[in-house]
Amino acid sequence: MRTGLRRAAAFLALLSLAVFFAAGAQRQWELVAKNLAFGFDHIADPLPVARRVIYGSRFMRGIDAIAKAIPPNGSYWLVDAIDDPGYGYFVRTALAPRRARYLGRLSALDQGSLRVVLSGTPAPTVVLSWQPDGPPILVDPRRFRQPPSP
Amino acid sequence: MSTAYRLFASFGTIALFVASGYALTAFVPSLREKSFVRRLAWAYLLGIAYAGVTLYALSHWAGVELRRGAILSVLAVPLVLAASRGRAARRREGRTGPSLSRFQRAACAAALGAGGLVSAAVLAHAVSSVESGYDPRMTWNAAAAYVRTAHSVNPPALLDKNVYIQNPRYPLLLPVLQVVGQEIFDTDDDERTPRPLYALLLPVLLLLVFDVAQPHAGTTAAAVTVVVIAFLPAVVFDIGSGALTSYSDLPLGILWGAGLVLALRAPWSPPEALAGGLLLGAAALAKTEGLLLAGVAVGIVCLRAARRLVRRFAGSRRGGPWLRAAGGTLAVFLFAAALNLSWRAGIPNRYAETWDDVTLRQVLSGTAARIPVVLPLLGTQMARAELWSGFWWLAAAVFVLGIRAFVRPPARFLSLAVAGALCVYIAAYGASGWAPSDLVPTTWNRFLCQLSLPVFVLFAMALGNALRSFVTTGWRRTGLSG
Repeated sequence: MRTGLRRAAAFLALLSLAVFFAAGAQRQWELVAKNLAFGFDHIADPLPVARRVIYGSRFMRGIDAIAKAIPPNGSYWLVDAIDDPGYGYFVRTALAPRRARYLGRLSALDQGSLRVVLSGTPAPTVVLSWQPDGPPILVDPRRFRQPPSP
Repeated sequence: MSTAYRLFASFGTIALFVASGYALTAFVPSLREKSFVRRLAWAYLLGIAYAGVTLYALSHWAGVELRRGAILSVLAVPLVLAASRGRAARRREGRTGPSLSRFQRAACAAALGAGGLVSAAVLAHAVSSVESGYDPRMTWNAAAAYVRTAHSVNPPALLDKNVYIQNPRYPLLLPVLQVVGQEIFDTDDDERTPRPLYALLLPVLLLLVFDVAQPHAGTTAAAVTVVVIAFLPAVVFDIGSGALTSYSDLPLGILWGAGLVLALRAPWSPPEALAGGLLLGAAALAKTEGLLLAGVAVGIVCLRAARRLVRRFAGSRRGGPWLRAAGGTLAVFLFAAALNLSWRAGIPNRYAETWDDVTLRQVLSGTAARIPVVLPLLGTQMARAELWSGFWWLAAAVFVLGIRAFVRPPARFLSLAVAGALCVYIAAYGASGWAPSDLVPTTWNRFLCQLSLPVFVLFAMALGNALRSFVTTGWRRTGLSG
């Protein structure tokens, strides 16, 4: 009786394994093939090409232009152009070791903070993180000023 | 930087970690006795743990600059010690592995094939693609850039409260390891160079699961478990948790699991305990929750030692070695914990989760209130076929069918450690200010990856028990892994 139960347990375990392998095999081996192929195709890519492949041409065009304007030991103010902060994080890392200071989201910029930024000398550098229709860019912070409400 | 030099720098860094760690394994009897390939896996882990913890401490407490000379000196110390003490590291002559049945050889061949293929695919991606994972792009790569520029784990960017950095108090072990290779080989900022450091942890995980599980579960069950892991997208290919990206969860999980196994392992000699403590210390410096997970593991080690102490006073004489071993593990862990806390204290917190202000009352009341909401969400994540391919259904069946495996001491203590880690996660869900519907999908699968090593070893043990009536030839405790 006990041996029978153990054999039944073993049979069920083997059956479960078979179902698991059958269910996952195709997808997993597709991923293996896809990543091996990617490796063979891109292993010799120069760095700018490798970055464009993953981050996109527009993004890298914007980052490269900003990186030329701000020295590696420099700093800048970051404005999130869209509400998802993730894009701002990616811009900040792509520009590291340049140091970012956070000004806020474009849709809810605090005019008091903006006034403090604008009063800085020399004129502050502001990076607009990522726009729905364009890459990250350097902008003149005065464009964010709003007339005082009556 | 040419492709050839980039690859040379990537694999040269790995070779340096392995060489340093290999010399360390010469001082740990149970690791010294292993076959060459298994020993390499342990050597890599010990190498990164030793280099990471040592450089972190030297940089923070002694102000040593993270430059080529200092890094190479640190990496050379174990090699010099091993050479000078004549421990260059040979295992005892004449020791051979057990003879395997045809069935066991087939299972091992399947494990080697599946594990080799997925590891090759992950490595191919790592050497060819810049980082695409969210957290590495948000946190870890930026931290590595700041550390490299300042040659310090206290870079001005982290110390300046006005600089916009998310979670600036996340410990920096993995960014420090990235900087090691960049400094030694004087590479540019190509983020592909350090990625193989992370990718190599997948074959290390597979080897460790096989190595740890085989004596308790049998060769067939251990090998089949390796094939099962190779079929799990969440562990291998998922961009939000797997070995394909530079998230710190899998490294943390492997360091923690390996440290746990080593610290719990007989014969409880101080070298095993110190090596286990070193791995747990590295886990404590790899991620915020690593400190808590390592604390759970050290707590279990100390409980075991205390139990032995009670027996000793009751008449048994077996308490001494256990106490010394537990003391060694505890001492190394406390060193790493002190380093973690001392480093954090100097970093102004901003743009961060608010764990520092959490009280026990908040944890308890929050957990009680949120558990009913959180539990179904956990189940939903574990049932995601694109991540787990039905693994948790399989695991539930195997754990029930092989439940007798859990009466053995290794399984009991691994289960206890997993339960302790789950308590940490549940408490975090209870105390977090995030809505569970936002928090669970972004964290739970990564938490499960942190538990990889003990969970898969337990799976192998249960599978071995369930299959026992089918696979009897050559079934015995091999003692291969000490």
